Amino acid sequence: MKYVIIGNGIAAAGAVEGIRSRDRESPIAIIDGEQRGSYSRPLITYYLAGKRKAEQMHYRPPAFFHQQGVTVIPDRAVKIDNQTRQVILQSGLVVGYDRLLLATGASPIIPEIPGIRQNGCVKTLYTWQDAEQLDLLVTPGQRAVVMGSGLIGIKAAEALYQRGMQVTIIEKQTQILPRLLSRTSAELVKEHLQDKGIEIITGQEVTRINGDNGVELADGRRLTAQLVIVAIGTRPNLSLAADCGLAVNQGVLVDSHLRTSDANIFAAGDVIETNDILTGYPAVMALLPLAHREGFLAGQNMAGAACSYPGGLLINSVHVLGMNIIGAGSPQIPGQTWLWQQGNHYLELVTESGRLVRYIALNMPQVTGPLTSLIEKQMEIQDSLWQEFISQPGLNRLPPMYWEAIKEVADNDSYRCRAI
Amino acid sequence: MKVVSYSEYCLGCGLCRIHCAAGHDGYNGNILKAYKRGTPRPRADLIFHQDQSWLNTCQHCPDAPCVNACITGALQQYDRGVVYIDEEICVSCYTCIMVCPYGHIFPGEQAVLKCDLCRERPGQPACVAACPNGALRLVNEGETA
Ligand SMILES: Cc1cc2nc3c(=O)[nH]c(=O)nc-3n(C[C@H](O)[C@H](O)[C@H](O)COP(=O)(O)OP(=O)(O)OC[C@H]3O[C@@H](n4cnc5c(N)ncnc54)[C@H](O)[C@@H]3O)c2cc1C
Repeated sequence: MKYVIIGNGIAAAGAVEGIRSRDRESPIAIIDGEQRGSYSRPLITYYLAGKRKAEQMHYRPPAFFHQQGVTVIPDRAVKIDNQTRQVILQSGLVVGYDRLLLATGASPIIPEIPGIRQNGCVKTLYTWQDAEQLDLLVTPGQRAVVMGSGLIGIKAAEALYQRGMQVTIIEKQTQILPRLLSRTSAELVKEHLQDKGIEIITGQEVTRINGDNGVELADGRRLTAQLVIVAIGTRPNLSLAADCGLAVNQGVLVDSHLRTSDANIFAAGDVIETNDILTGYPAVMALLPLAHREGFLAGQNMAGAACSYPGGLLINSVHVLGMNIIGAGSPQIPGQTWLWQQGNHYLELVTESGRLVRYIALNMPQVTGPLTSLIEKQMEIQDSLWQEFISQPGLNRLPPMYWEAIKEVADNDSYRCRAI
Repeated sequence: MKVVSYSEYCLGCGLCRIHCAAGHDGYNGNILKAYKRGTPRPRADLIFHQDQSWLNTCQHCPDAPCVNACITGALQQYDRGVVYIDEEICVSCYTCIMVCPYGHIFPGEQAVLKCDLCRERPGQPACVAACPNGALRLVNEGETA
């Protein structure tokens, strides 16, 4: 059996672990298009902020791949020939496979705005190389405009702020972190950032980039900026899959075993379209824990297992300038809201027929693990118990049936596999 | 391997967490040094729930969700066994805290704090050794609690 993995990110590392948990012998090759080894993408903003050195960037250390008997090929895949089961690389090298994993991740979306492609001041912050390039452009005292207030936009803004730049965030929606936060919690985070000195403009779009002079907004306002970071979202890197005829929609389509429409090709990570387990709707989730989980399961399946993957939950934890923000669940499901706030600690729950469908925790990390589990389990809990919990949230006040059920979670076998 | 807590024997005295803190961060089990002069940082905590109490400590889950979710690779589980944190690599993003169903991982400054089964200590983990009522036991995988 010959395994080939395209991409050397998070899903790829998970896949190596998955394959090796079942097959210790067969050769594995990784086509590493970025040629930077296995590094943790979320750390690039820490790198830019000067809080992480180059030797602390790895997700799996180089020795890991050696120990696991993996050959890392620093090259880009340009074509998959799924008839002959070969991957053609940019250098002309041809790599044959029996089982292939597409773990090509995503890329930032660049909107079609006049001036955006012509200006050297417009950058993205998505790769380690982006961070290295930005590192050279950062000038304390100058202004940077960050387009988009998603996770990447917020973390980019924080890093530039910590490097002494004046930072303005422009968000098209009427609140920041729209995928993660409710209106009320978004206001609190916005106040926190504004108190630190970050300027935030919501409900406005950048309509033009004027080179060194900055940006123009939809309402005609002009902002002077020496640097513009585009962080309005990402899109799966689909071309390899689409070009060889695999079924794709917003992302590569996979079945519950993470197999694409070609039986020898699997896919995992930001490149796939999966299900939001809460809503049941197809979704491109683009989250690191899911990328690792999917890679791990796909790897096992490539080695002959039949692990099924139910889909993912939208979930994120992020620190910005001393504030911890954790959110999970679906913003789309309406329900009853439960609020608690004390100083800068804030907890918001949304339940639907007694089941938790969303929570937002600001500076309240300790209760979030059980809350995530309550969303996943969709355990029905009486309103009186939610009331008791929210009156003084803490592990001591979780519903008793949660603690009873959780004893089984350690032995949760939902991710275990049937060997075939 | 993990420490199992029997709530029927737990007195809620909290010696487990005190010895846990004193057993880490270089205090070498010296409670005075940890609590009088240092910053005690226990890696496990007591839960008081209704009329019961127990030590809430890492279950070293098979296929641990925290290890899967860790964004830096700081959390590792070798051979599906004990879950360790490399405090040098952790950036305290709290993603692990967010996915631990027990609430077992604790916020820390540079790195999150979690049970390492006192790997540097000879013999039983500090909490187990300190429990005056035999409410804590170290069990191996496959062994019934
Ligand atoms: C600044 C930032 C912060 C983030 N923070 C968080 C966070 O806190 N929590 C969270 O859950 N997620 C976070 N994410 C998202 C997380 O990084 C991704 O979900 C994760 O990296 C996805 O893993 P992946 O393996 O699918 O893709 P990647 O890790 O992106 O790896 C894919 C690799 O494949 C390569 N590739 C693409 N095409 C080819 C080709 N043709 N040939 C060879 N190689 C190719 C790419 O260059 C890339 O190196 C963050 C992302 C960024 C940018």
